[in-house]
Amino acid sequence: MSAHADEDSGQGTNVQIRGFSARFDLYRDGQLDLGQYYRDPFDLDAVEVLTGPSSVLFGRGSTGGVVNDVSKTPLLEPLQAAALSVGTDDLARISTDLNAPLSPSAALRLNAMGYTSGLAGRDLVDAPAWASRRP
Amino acid sequence: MISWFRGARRRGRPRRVAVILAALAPGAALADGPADGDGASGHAIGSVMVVGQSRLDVPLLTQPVARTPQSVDVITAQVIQLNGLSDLRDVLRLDPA
Repeated sequence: MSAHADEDSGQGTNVQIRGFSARFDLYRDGQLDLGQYYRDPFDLDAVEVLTGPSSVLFGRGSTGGVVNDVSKTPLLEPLQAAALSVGTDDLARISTDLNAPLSPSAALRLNAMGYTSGLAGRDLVDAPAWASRRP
Repeated sequence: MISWFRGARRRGRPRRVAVILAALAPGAALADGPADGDGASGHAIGSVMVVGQSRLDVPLLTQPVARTPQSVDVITAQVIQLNGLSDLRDVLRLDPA
């Protein structure tokens, strides 16, 4: 598996598996995720990579394989977690993971992320991003 | 039919058809006629059950393709957090495949 920059393809997450483009083999919880955007793993519980002729083995997809992102799901235990990252070129990123049980059989989980950074060597570039997800 | 036969004659097919019919004729006669000399002529053989195991020429295909085990690499959230990754491309670089 290899990931490369956007010189030869559209923007977003472009990966190749076994030399074949997996651009249209990205799934989110089993659903095809065709969006051309950069995927942040702040709300992912796992990333599954199936290599091989996925159209035969997985039922759909192309030659190289598929990538399935598994979302975080609510838990029956309380959870509070946060992560903060800072770096050069005005990089700052914060992500939170909050989970609150509502009843013995129901819970609420909130994942949020904020990101901002510049670009090395370029003064006029700013790349902010934010996202939230409530399963 | 006539036009087809004429066209075929120009391409020499009647000779080929005649050779094939000549080759099949003795076989058909043997199948229809009684088997002389073995003493069991004239009655049909009942149903025969043959029990055995099929031998696969390709030993890798021992079950349906849909049930073939495949390698699935799983990168957990804990690994993602410990590596401080913020992009799915960076996450996929951890995949050993």
